[in-house]
Amino acid sequence: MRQLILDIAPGEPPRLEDFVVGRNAEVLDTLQQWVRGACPERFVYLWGEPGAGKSHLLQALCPGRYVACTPDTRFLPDPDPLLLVDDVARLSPEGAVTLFHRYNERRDEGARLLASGPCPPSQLSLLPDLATRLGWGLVLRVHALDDTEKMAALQARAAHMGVSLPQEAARYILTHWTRDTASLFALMQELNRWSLSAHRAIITIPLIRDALASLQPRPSGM
Amino acid sequence: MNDFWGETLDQIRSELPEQQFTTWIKPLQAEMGDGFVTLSAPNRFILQWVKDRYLSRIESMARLNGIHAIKLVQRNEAPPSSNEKTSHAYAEPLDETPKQADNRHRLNPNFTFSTFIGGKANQLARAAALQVAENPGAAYNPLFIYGGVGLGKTHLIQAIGNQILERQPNAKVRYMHAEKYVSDVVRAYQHKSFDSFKRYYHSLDLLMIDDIQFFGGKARTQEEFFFAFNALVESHRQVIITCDSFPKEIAGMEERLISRFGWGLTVAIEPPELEMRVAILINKARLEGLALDENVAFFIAKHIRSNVRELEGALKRVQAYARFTGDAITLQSARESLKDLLALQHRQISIENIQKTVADYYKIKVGDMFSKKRTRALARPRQMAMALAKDITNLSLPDIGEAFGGRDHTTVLHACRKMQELCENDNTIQRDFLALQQILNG
Repeated sequence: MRQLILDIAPGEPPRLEDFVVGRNAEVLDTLQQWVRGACPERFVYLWGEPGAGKSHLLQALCPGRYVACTPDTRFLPDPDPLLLVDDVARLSPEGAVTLFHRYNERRDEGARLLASGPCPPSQLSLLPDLATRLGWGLVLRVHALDDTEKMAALQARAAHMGVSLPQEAARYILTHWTRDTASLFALMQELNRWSLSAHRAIITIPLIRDALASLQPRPSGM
Repeated sequence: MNDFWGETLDQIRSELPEQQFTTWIKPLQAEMGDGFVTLSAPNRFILQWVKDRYLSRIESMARLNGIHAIKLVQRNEAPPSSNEKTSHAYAEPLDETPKQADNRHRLNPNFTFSTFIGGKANQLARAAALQVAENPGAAYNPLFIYGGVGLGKTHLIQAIGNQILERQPNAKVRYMHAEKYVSDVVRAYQHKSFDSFKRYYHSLDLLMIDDIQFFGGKARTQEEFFFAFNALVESHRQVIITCDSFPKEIAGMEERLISRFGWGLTVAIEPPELEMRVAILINKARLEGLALDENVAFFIAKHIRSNVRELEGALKRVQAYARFTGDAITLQSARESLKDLLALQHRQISIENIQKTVADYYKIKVGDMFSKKRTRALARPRQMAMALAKDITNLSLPDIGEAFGGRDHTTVLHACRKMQELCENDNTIQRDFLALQQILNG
């Protein structure tokens, strides 16, 4: 099945208050303590399926110290007490070795590290020395939102943008659009633009239908 | 008398694996008495070990030679030339050595023998480490400890360093990860400062290199380490090395280094067994001021099997959940806090998964697990998979036999016994078994 994506501009930087908690109250509470230095555990690892909100959380917690991993990412010695590393599974073997050393330094020097990945550390196909160390800290799962939570999240996002999204319109989006949270929020942003140009304060099903029809979906990866 | 002891040594050497002979029997010194023989052990650990395991065998051989009694005592040995050790002219530390004098050795003060939980999986390594801590530079040099990730190698070698420093605060001790040594070599190369590099490393009393497999393929690093190793070992100063594999199996390592790693003692650390995992958890909790119920420890230990780090991580998860909910840690809360991890594990370790993992490991077809072919190249992996299935799943032997092409449960039983026997006598099979266990347990 081909996944359709929107060609729309990236949204605002994520904020912690926009994170829809769902079943992640403990995760959120722990991270808020961690960033303040009040969490007893200095090393935290978040795992969960794509779209569960890991990147959102990491970026919102401390945007200045956020690193999204790529195969080219290398970690250099870094005296800052905080480091947030998103999606370690994307690291190359060389990149993983550099993170391994930063981990050891941080451990020696009392600094903190928050990392994320798609699965628990024990199942990462990553330098075992690094993977087991990530599993040595506090490992928490970020649960993706279920449909009810996603509708609530869309409505909250709409309210934040200053428009109203009735329940049936939210449900319509969930049954007519890709349902991962990133795609849903991207669509919400586009709908907001439509509502502004149409001078509507309420996002109705006909407006959504028009918007979807006018968007030129294209196969992913192009 | 000397004949008696010489013959006894030959006999025991033929009965024991070389490593055990070298560790426990070889250090004994025999002295003739009137109708008895006094065997002196260099320290109380060897003494106790020999007393528990080998004394009755030695006594029976003595009786055959008309000797009526064996006295086992601890040798009164002066600590190995401590004056010599502390009288080295210390080279000035390199610029990059830590600023605070009290942390120059880079040891974690919490990594001591008293916080190290012993068990069957690490008893040999622990005993050897204790001997090295008692007789650095003399007992086993180098001490080479190998095993999978997260099994406590770093803790054990740092415990040696901490104990030596406790007795000899002036000893020049240095712990480092192999990669740090590599970067020191690079820096010396860039700054053309190999003289001070050598001065520093060749002046140490105890050098501990963790994860030496990181030296693989790095020729200049290996060359420098070769010189440092020779300088230290020749002057009876201690070198301790850890690695993820047996010396001969380190990829990209020069033969001359590999052979030197075998000069002292090479010991393995294996994944902890259930009782040891429970003890690790209870001890870890106690260190953090938490009285962990044994049932909870047992529950965690039963499900988290692969390594100590993951075990400690699971305990942190259980504690964090209890903190968040404000409730005490109970079996129920432990189950709740670990349910995501456990659900994943249970999904993963089915008998089909074991068959596939083992087949992949030995590069044979999954279909060979069920086939009637009995060539060794297929039978061994099949026996390995059966033994792992018995070890990891709760399936009955008839169920396991059924899953392997409708074999009888006695075949499974035979496979399990055979694997146990092979694991005890064959390092390669034992390593394969542990590696597969670790892969399957995640």
